[in-house]
Amino acid sequence: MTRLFAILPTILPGIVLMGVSLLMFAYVGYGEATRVYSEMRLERVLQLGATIQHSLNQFARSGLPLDQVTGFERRAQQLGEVDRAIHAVALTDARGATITCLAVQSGADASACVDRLGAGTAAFRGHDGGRDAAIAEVGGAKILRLPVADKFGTVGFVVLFVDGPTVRETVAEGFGPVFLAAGALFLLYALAQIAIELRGTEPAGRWRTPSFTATVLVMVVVLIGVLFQLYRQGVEGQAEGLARSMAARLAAATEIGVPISALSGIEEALRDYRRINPQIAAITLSRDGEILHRIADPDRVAALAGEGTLSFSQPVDAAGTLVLAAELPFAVVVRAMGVGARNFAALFFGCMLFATIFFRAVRARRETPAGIGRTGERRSAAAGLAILQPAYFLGILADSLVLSVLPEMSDRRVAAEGLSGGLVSLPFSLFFVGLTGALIPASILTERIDLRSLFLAGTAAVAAGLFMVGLLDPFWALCAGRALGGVGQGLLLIAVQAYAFEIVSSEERVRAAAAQVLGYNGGLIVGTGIGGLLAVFMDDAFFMVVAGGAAVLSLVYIRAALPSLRKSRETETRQSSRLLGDLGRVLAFPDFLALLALIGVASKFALAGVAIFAMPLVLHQTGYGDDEIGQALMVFAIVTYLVTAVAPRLVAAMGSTDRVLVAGMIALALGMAGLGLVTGGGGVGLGGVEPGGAGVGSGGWLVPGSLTALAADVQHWLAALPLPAAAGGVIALSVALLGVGQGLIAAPIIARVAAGGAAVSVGRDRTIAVYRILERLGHISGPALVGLLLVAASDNPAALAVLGGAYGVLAALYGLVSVALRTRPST
Amino acid sequence: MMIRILLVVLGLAVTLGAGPAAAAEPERPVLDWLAYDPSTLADYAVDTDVGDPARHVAIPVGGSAGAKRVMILIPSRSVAAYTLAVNTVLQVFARREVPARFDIWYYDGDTDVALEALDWSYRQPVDLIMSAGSSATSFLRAHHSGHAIPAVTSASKDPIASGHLGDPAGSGTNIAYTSINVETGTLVAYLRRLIPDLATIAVAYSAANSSAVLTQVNPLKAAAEELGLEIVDVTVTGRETAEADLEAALPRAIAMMRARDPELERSILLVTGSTAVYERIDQINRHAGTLPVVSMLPDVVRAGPDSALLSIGVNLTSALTLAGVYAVDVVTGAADPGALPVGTVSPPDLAINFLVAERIGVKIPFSFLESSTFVYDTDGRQVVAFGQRVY
Repeated sequence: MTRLFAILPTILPGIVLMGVSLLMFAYVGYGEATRVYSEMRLERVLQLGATIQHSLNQFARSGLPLDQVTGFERRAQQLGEVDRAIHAVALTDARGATITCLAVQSGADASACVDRLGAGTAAFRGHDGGRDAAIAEVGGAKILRLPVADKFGTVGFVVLFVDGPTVRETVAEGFGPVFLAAGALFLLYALAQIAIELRGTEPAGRWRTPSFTATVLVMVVVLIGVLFQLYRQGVEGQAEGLARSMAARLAAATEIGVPISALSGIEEALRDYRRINPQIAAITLSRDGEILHRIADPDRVAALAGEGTLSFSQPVDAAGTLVLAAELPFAVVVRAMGVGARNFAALFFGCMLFATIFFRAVRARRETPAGIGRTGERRSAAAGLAILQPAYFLGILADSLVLSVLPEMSDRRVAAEGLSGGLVSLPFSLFFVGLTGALIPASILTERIDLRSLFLAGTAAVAAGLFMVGLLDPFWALCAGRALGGVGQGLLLIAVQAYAFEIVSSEERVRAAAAQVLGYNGGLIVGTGIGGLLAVFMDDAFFMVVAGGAAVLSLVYIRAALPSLRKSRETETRQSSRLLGDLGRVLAFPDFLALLALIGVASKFALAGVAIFAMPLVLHQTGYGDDEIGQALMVFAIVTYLVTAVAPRLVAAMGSTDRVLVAGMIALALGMAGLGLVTGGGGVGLGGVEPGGAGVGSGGWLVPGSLTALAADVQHWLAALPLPAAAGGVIALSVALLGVGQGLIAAPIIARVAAGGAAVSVGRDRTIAVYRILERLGHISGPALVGLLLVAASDNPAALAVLGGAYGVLAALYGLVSVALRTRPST
Repeated sequence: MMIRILLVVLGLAVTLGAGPAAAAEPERPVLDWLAYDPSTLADYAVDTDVGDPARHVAIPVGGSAGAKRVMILIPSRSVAAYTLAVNTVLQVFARREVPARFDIWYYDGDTDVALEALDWSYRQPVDLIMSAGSSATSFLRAHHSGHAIPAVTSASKDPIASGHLGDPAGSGTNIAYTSINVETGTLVAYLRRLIPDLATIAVAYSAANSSAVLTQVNPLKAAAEELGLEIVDVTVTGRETAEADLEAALPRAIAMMRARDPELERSILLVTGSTAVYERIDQINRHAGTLPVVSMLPDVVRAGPDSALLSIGVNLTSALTLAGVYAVDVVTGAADPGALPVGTVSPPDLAINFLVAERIGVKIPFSFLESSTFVYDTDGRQVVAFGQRVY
C-alpha cells in the first residue's frame, strides 16, 4: 500500500487524464448521437404526420370546415401506435384554436393535451403564414405543425407533440455499451498503469503514451459501432415513415374499394414522391413479390440491385399482397457518421496533444523528484520546461475553450441591452488592452515576486474573468471579464518567459522559446477544438463556468507541480525604464517603421480582428455550429503552428525575409477575401440588428454592389458543385490561409527587426522589446476596427473581402518599400 | 355623381307627382326566404327587421366598432344558391378574422330597388359592394363601374364569356370578377390527363341555353382551335325535343368521331351544364358505349351505372369561398380589385364513377382520385363525399 501511495503522483495525472478523455468522448458522442438521431426521428414523425395531413387536405379542398372532419381520431391513434414518441395529435383552425386534441399514448391525460396545444400555439407565434411544416420546442418536447390547406390557403394545422425524453431514451438505450466500455476501459487503464509502475522497470514510462492512445482508440471504435447502429435504426425509421406516408396515399384508393389496376399515373406519383424526398434511393410497388412499379435513383446503381440500402415495406391493401417499399441508401448513415467523425477526430487530436504535454511533465517530475531550480542548480532544463509547459498550456486552454462562443455571446448581450452593434467587438479589444497593459507591470513584478506566484496570479485572473462572464449577465460584466482575462494572459506570458529563461542556460533559450510556443499553440489548438465540441451541448454561460473550472485546475497544477522560483537579480537591467527612450530612437528608422506599420501591426490586427473576433461571429451567423467554429479555430491554430515551424526554412530557401513577409501578407489577404466572398452577400446581424443568413443584400457604403453580387455568384457556384461541402471546404481553406499568413510572419518578422538598422543602432533586444509592445496596437485595434467595419458594411461579411484587398495593397507597398530601402545609398 | 343626381331628380318628380289618385307603387321585394346557418349565427347577430323588408343586416357578435361595411346585392329569389352565397361569404370573413357589417339587399329583378340600394351604399358609404349571381353582376357592371367603392362579384358565370371584360388578368376597374365556371384551359388540361392523345371532343349542349353556349361551348371551341382539337357538336333544341334530338345527333357525332379515331381511344364526349342534355345521361351512355363521358356538372356523376365517368366542375361552395377571399383581400386593401385576375377555382372539383370506368375500360389518373370530392366505387356505391370516406 505504501508503494501504491508512492507511485500515485506518477500515475494519477495519466489516470485522471484518461478519465476526463473517456468522459469527454462519451459526452460528446452522446450529445452528437442525440442531435443526429433526434433529427432523424423528427423527419420520420414528419412523414408519418404527412399521412394525416394528406387526408385532411383532401377534405378541406371539398370546401367543408375542418370541424366537420371525421376519422381524425382513428388516424391519430394509428400514429401513436407507429411511433411511441408521438404523445399527442391535435387539429387546430388557421388561428390556432383547438378543434380536437388527442393524447395518443396509454395513460396520457387528454387535458394535458390541450395545455400543451396552448403552449405549442404560442411557440409558433411569429412564424410565417404557415404554408410549410414548422418545428418548435417547448419544454424539451418538439412540436411539429403541418398546414392543412383548402384551395385558397391554409385553413388549419395538424400539430404533433413529440416527447423529448422518449426520443432520448432510445439514444440512452443505445449508449449503454458506450458507458460500460468507458468504465471498463478506465479501470483497465488504471490497473495497467499501477501494474506497470509497481514493476518499477525503467521502460515503464515508455508504455504510458501508447497505452493511452490504444485505450482511447478502443473507445473510439466502440463509439463508432454504437453510433452506426443508432443511425442505422434512425434511417430505417425514416424509411418506415416514407413508406407509410406514400402507402397511405395508395391505400386511400384500396380502402374505398378502388383497385390499383383501375388507376393510371401511379409511376408518375412515385416519381414525384421521390423527387420531393431525394434521400430515397428507390421506391417500389409490388404485388405478391412481382414488381409493378419501381422508381430508383439512376445515380445509385447499387440501389437498383437492392443492395446498399435500408428499406421498409408497408402493405397497401388489406390482404397484404400489394406492398410499397421505400429504400434509403447506406450513404445516409455514413454521412451522419461523417459529421461525428470530424468531431471525434478533433477530440482525439486534442486528447492526444493534452496527453503528450502532461505525460512529458509526469516523466520530468519522475526524473527530477527534488524539483527544478534555477540555472546552474537544475538537473535538467528539459525536465524543467516539461513541467512548466502544462501550466501555460492550461491557462491558454481555459481561455481558448470559449473562443468559439464569445463573439455570438457578445452579439446577443449587446442586442439584449439595445446597445449599438459596434460595441460587439469591445470585449475583444478590452482583452488585448488588458493583455498589453499587464505586460510592463508584470515585467517589473518578475524582479520582485516569486515567479510561481505570478503564474498563480495570471491563472487566477483568467479564471476570475471566465467566472465573471459566466455568472453575470450584463454586457459590462462581459467587458470586465474579458479585460481581466487579458490581464491574466499578459501575466502568464511574462511569467512563462521569465520562468523558462530562468531555468535554462543562455545557450538553451531557443528551447525555452519553443516550449513557450508549444504551450501557447497546444493550448489554443486543444482549447478551440474541444471547446467548440463541448459548447454545442451546454448553455453558453454554464460553459464559461466550466472553462473557469479548467483554469482552477491549472491553479491546482501550478500549486502542486511547479516549484517556487525567484528571478536572479544579477542578470537584470532596467529595461522597462529605458523603454520610452528606446521608442523614440527606433521609430526614427524607416525600415522599422515600415515593418511595424505595414506588416507587424497589420498581422496582429488580422489575428485579433479577423481570426479571433470576426471569423467566429460571421460563421455563427451564417449557420455554422459551435463545433464547426471551434474546429475552424483549431485549423487556424494548427496551421499557424506548423507554418511557424517551417518559416525559417522557407526564409533560407527564398533567400529573403522580406519576400516571406510579403507572402504572409498575401496569404492573409487571400484568406480574408475567401472568407468574405463565401459568407458575404447578406447581413449577419451584428448587434442583433438583422437576422442572419447569406444572400444578396446591402453592403452599406463600404461594400460595392459588384462585390456583393460577386459573393452571391461565388456562393451559387459553390452550391452548384457536386461536392457536398464545397462552401465549407473554401471556408476551411480561407481559415488555413489566415494561419499560413500568421505563421509566415510571426517568427520571420522578429528576425527582420533584429537585423534592421534600429537593432544595429539601439540594440537588438531593446529594439525587439519596443517592437513587441508596439505590435500590440494591432491586437487592440483589430476587433474594434473590424467590428466598426462590419457595422459600416451593414453587417455584410463581404467587408472582409474589402479588408483582404487592403491587405493586398499593404503587401505590395511593403514589397516596394523594402526594395527601395535596400537600394537606397547609405548616408 | 350623375346617377345620384338622376336619382334625386327622379325622387323629387315622384314626390311632386304623387297625389291621392297616384298609381299604385310596385310591391317592395321581401327578403323573407334567406336562411342563416348556425355557424353564421355564431359569428353574426342578424337583424331581419330593419324597417325595410328588402334588407337584412348582419353585425359581428363582437360589435361593429371598426368593422368594414359590405353590401351584398341579391337579384332574385333563388333560395338554395343565395342562401349558400351569403352564408359562405359571411363565414369567410369570420374565419379570416376580418370583422364586417353586412347589409344584404334583395331587389327581385327590380332595377329601381337595385339603384336605390346602390345609392344607399354610396351615402353610407360602404367599403365594398358584392353581387350575388350573374344578373347582379351585370347590374353592377352597368351602373357601378368606375366608382370609388370597390366591388367583387360572386356566384356568376364566366365574366369573359359574358363580355364583362376581355383580359383575364384583371378588369382594370373598381370591380374584381370571379367565376363559377372551370377555366377552359384547365378543363382541357384535365381532359388531356385522362386521355393523353386526345384528338376529338364531342360537346353536348342545348342551343337554347345561351348561358351554356356563351360560357362553356364557345370558349371550348376557341381553345380547341388553338390546340388543334376537333370539336363535334351534339345539340338539342330544347327539353321537349331533347330525347329525339339526342337519338339523332349522338350516332351522327360518334360516326364523325370514328372517322378520325376508329376505336374512340382519343375521343371524349363532354356534357355541358344544359339541363336538357345532362338529365338524359342514361341515353347518352347507351350511345357512347366505350366513349368516356365527362360532365361539367358534379351531379351527373352519381351512384350506379347511369352516370358520367367523370365530372370536372366547380362546387358552388368553392366558387363562393373564392369570392369571399377576394372580398377580404379587397376590403382590407391587400389587393387592388382592377389588378386581380378573374377568380376561378383551381384545381376544379372532381367526381368519379369507377363502375363506369371499369365498364368502358378507362383508367383514372391517380392524381384525379387524390383530389376528388365525390367517388363511386366499382360497384357504383358512393364511397367518398366531400373528400371523406362515407362508410
